[in-house]
Amino acid sequence: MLFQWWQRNRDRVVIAISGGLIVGAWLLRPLGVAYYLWGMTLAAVIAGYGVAKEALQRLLAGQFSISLLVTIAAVGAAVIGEVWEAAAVTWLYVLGGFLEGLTLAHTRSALRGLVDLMPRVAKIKRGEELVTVSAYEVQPGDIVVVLPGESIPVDGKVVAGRASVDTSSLTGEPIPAEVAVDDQVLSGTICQGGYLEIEAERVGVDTTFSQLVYLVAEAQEQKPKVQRTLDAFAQWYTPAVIITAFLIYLWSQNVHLALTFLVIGCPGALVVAAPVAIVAGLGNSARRGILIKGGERLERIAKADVVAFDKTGTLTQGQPKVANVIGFAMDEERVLSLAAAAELRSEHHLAAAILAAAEEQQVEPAPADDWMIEAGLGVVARGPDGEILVGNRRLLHSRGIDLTPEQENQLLEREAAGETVAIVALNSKAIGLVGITDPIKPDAYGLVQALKRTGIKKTVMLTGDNPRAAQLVARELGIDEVRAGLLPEQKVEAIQDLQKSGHVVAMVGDGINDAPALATADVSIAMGTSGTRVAMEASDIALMGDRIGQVPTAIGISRRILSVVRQNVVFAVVTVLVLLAGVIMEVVHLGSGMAIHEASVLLVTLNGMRLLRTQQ
Amino acid sequence: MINEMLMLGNLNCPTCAAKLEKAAQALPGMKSARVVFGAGSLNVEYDPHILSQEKIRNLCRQMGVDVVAVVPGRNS
Repeated sequence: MLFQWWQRNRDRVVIAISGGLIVGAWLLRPLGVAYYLWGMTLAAVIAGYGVAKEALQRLLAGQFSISLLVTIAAVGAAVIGEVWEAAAVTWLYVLGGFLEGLTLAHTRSALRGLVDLMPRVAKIKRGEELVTVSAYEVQPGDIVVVLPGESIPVDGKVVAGRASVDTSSLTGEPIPAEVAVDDQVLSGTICQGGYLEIEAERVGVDTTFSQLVYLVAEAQEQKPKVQRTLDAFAQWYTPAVIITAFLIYLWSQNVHLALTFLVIGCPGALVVAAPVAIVAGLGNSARRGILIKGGERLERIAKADVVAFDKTGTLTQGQPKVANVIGFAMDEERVLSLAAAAELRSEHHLAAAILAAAEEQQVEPAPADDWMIEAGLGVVARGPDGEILVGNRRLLHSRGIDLTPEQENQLLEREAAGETVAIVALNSKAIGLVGITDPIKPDAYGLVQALKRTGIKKTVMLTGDNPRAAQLVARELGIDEVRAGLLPEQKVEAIQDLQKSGHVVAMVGDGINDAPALATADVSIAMGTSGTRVAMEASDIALMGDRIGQVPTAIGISRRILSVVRQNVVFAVVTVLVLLAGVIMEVVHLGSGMAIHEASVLLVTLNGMRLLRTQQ
Repeated sequence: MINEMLMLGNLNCPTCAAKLEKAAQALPGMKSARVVFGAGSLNVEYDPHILSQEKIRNLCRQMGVDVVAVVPGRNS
């Protein structure tokens, strides 16, 4: 007990006692120099004991460590009679290490928080029995039981029960999702109210959440260019400092100066400059459902000046809805009923919208049989009421059915409003129109403006949809350029075009249909849900919560990480250079130099910690 | 081969990180060991017939580093 307490609080105790002795030595100095000398010496010994011990251990392991430099400096200072300097150097070194530990722990908290959310145990059903096992022992096919307040330990399908599930750990989405039988659930999400029995599909390390944690941790290892430059620099930096210190001694015969140079030359702030910013920034964004892969991608993201969007499912909800039903001298309900009858056997995505609208408005589809699908035109069905046609102009044309000028006008009006219009005809006479739209996602509004604020110069929409519908969405959202009617390979060409004209292109898509375009773009941003895992693995940035509104946040945070890294590097280099110059000009001494050195490490860490704060 | 990510509680100096990495790499049965300073983690891949998680934890303890959590990775 006591030993553990000592282990945990040793730094605090040492800092307090040694600091107290230093203050006491100054205060008692007027009473006698002996008090001062002994006070400072004792302070230096107490603070320096741990430092010297570590230095010795490392030296025996063949390492020249910073603690060794500090020990040499402190002992040297004491030998030449500068006890105050010896005490100051050791005390500041211990204090600095302690404060760095605190701030580093805080910086890493974002990632640690994710790890803490990983499910540890699972309750699985073995016959009638409920057995608690480690989350890593669950096998695919096991039935996992989740009670309120527990986190779901596997990816799988709900086979019994219903519950509201908090998915914020994975997606950053604050509103819980309601799940019931046959719904998919993901590990790491939390069952809030209700009860779930889940058939495990992906378990242990294969779960989406495990993969997320791994990818976030791995992203830390990917070094951006600026950091690799720094690492190369650090390799010859430390030996250079030692050699220079020795040369200074030979040249000036001034031990004090050479010792000071050694201590000031420690590469503290340079080493932590990049990692603290990266861990704080990537960890924080991951907790909000934005997975950013690190490394060189950060630089590419920061350079992007064009953002290209897929339309359907990215900017729009991807689920067409009936917006308007128009009856020509017939009530709308009847038109919808006949249209639904014809579409019953169709698998076209517009058919789903018509059937959904009929169900929603509680309109019973009219009786029908003998369906015939006319590819690219529409459907024809036969029922007691006669022959029903639902399709486009060409379908009507092929049957010799004409619209009156007034009907034609109504059709054009709906199309101008961005709707895809299905014409309904009964017994060779047009009876009505069904206008279908794919609504824009609510959080897509303001997206372009937010992107412009992060420094994106141009936004482009690449879509396979018809130009009119595409133009309308683009105008609504303020997107600069539209390329419509594109096949997947034409999307690739469109991106290559932009790249040829000197742009760095970020592409936002759903990860599956847009895979070729995403792969071509300089930066790929994939939307979550449908393709969560594909999105996570293949893209530079994955938006786990499927929220398009997070694109500017993701780009913004990448840029901020990079700019903090650069600030830190510049600051660390400048500090060391200024200190070294100060040492050579003999205006900086051991104590003050050490204080500035430790302060610079702290400042760099604190600067990195700014990235922990949530910013939209 | 077993892959694991050991989250370290008090990995404060980059030099200690480098030292731990070297010592971990020297363990018999260790295929690869990397300390990620930013994340504060030790990522290891080892042969479970020769080496165990307990031995790696012991090494960390000897070096004065606390292991606060272990995240299992994909085994190959």
